[in-house]
Amino acid sequence: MTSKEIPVKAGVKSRRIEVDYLARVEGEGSLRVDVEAGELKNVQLKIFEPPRFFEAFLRGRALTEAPDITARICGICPVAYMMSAVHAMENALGIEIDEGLRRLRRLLYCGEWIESHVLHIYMLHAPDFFGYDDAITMAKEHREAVTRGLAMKKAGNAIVKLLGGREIHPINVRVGGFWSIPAPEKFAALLDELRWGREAAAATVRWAADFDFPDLHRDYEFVALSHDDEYPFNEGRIVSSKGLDISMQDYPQHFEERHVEHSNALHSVRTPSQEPYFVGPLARFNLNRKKLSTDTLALAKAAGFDRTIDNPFESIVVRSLEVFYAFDEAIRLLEDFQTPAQASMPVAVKAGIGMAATEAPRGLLFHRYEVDADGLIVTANIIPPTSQNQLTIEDDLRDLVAANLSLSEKELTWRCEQAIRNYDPCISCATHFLKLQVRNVGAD
Amino acid sequence: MSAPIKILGVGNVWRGDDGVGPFIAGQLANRLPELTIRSCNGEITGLLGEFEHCNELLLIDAIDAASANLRPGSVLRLDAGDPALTQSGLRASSSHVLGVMEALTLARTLDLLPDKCAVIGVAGKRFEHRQELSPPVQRAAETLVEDLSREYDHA
Repeated sequence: MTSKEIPVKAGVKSRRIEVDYLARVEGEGSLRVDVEAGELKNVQLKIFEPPRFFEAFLRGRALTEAPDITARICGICPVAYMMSAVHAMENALGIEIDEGLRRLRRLLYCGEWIESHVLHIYMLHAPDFFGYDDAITMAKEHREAVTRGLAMKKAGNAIVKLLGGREIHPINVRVGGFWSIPAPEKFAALLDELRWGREAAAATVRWAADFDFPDLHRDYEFVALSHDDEYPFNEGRIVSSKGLDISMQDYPQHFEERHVEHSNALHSVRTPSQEPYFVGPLARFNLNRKKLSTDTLALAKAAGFDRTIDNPFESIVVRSLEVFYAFDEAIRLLEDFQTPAQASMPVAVKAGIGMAATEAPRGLLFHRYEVDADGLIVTANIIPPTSQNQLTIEDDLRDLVAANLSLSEKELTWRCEQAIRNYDPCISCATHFLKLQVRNVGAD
Repeated sequence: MSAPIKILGVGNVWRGDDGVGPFIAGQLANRLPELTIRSCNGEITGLLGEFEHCNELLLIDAIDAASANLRPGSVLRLDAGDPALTQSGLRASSSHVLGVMEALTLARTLDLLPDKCAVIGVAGKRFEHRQELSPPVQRAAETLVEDLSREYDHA
C-alpha cells in the first residue's frame, strides 16, 4: 500500500489521500471518502473494472452451456456459478435431481467454501488483525498458522478436483447432475485429509476468536437461504432478519438492481424500501445457526460465538466456523457415501423461465434464465453477492469513518480496507485491485 | 537417479497473452515426455503444491509488457531469487491478487522453494477475454518451445 497527500483546492487547507493499490481484495475498484471541515460528506465504493458482459455472452448459447460459461466469471467461486446455473436451468425444465446427486452437490460446495474461505481467512484477512501488510509478512512470524491454512485449502481443492474434474473452473457439472461420478474408493481416499482439515479448522476458529475486533454494530437486514433441515448451500427459501420469507423464484419482486454513476457494478436494494441488505457468512450464520452440526455449535459456543453476530469484523470467525462445518459436512457425506443410480437425470429441452439462488462463499448468488423451445438462452440475469453487499459496505464505511475521524490518515485508511475485506468482496464477480482515496477538505 | 525436474506453465488460457505459459507447457509436454510438465492458472496454493516433489522448477508466465517497460514478445529468464523479478511485471498480469510473485516469496519464507527455481517471463500486451496469443507473443512462444526442447532434451 502506498499513499500520498496532494492539495486539491488552491487557497484552502485541504488534502486528498490516495492509496494506489489496496491489496488483498479480488478485483479492481476504489474507495473514495470525502471529509469536509471534519465532517464526513461522502463515501463511494467504486468498481471500475469494465462490465464483463457474461449475460450477453450467454444469449443464444445452449442452456446446457450455462454452467461452464458462468464458471468462468470467477476463479475463486466457480462452483457457486455452476450451482446457481444448473439449479436455475432445472427449475426452467422441471427437473428434480435424486438424493445421491444432491448430496454430491453439497459435497462439491463444501470444497469450494473451504477453498474460498481459507484463502480469505489466512491469506487476505488475518494479516489485518496482526497489522501486517500481507500474508507473506505474516508468514515470517506466524509460520505454523500460514502453513496450516495452505494445507486446509489444499484439502478443499482436493474435493473440487475430484468431483469437479479440476481444482479451478471445474468441468464435471452439468444440468441434471454430473458428467461422471468418481469411483467410491476415490471419495474414501479423501477422508483422512478431511479429518485432519476438520481439526485444523477447529484450531482456526480458536485462533481467530482471539483477535481484537474493531467495534462496529449496525441494524442490518441479513438475507440468506434457509432450508428446513440443513445449513444452506443449494436449496431453501430466501429469508431475512426482517421477516422476508419467499421462494427463490420470487426474488425479482423483492430485490432490485440499480445503476449508480460511480460504479460499473449494479447496486442491489430491497424493494420497495430501496434499503441495502447483507448477504454472506454472517447472514447465513445468523439466520441458520441452529442448523449447523452439533460439533460446529459446540465449537461456536466454546469460542463465545453462539450468538447473533452483527459486527462484520467478526466475520473472520464466522467464516472459520463455516470452514469447520464444511469439513464436518463433507466427512458426513463421504462416510455415508453411496454412488448415485445415475450420473445425471434426463434433460428434456423446453421453453421456460428458470430461477435459482445458491449460497456462494460470499453470499447469495441469483441466476435467472429464459430459454426457448430449442434450449437456447434468450435472456440471462446474474446477481452476484458482492454487488448485493456493495451499498452495505459503503454504509459500514460511512459509520466507521464518522466514528473514527480522530484516527490518523494511515490508521483510518487501514481500518477502511479491513472493513471492506470483512465482506471478502469479489469485484471480478461483480463486474479487479482496489484504490482508496480519502479526500479531506478544510480539515484543521 | 537425477533430481526431478518440473516445468510449469502458469496463466489463464482464456485471457489472451496470459495463456502463453500453458501454451508453451502444452507444446513441451509432447516433446519432453520424460519430464513433469504441467499448467496451472497461478492460484497460490496450487502453485505452492507444484513446488513439492521437485528439485528443479522452471516457471513460465506472462508478464505485462507495459508495466515492465518491455516490447511485447520480449523474454526474461531470471532466478527466483533475483531481486529484478519483483520489477518484472509478473504480478500485473495475474488475474488474482496472490499469484506467482507472492507464491515465490511465500515459498521462500516457508522453505518450500526447490533447490533450483527459475522464471521465464514472456511480455504480453493483450490480457482481455480471448483464447489467442497476440502475434509477437505467439512467435516468442514458438521460439521458446524450440529452445527449451533442446535444453531439456537430455535432462
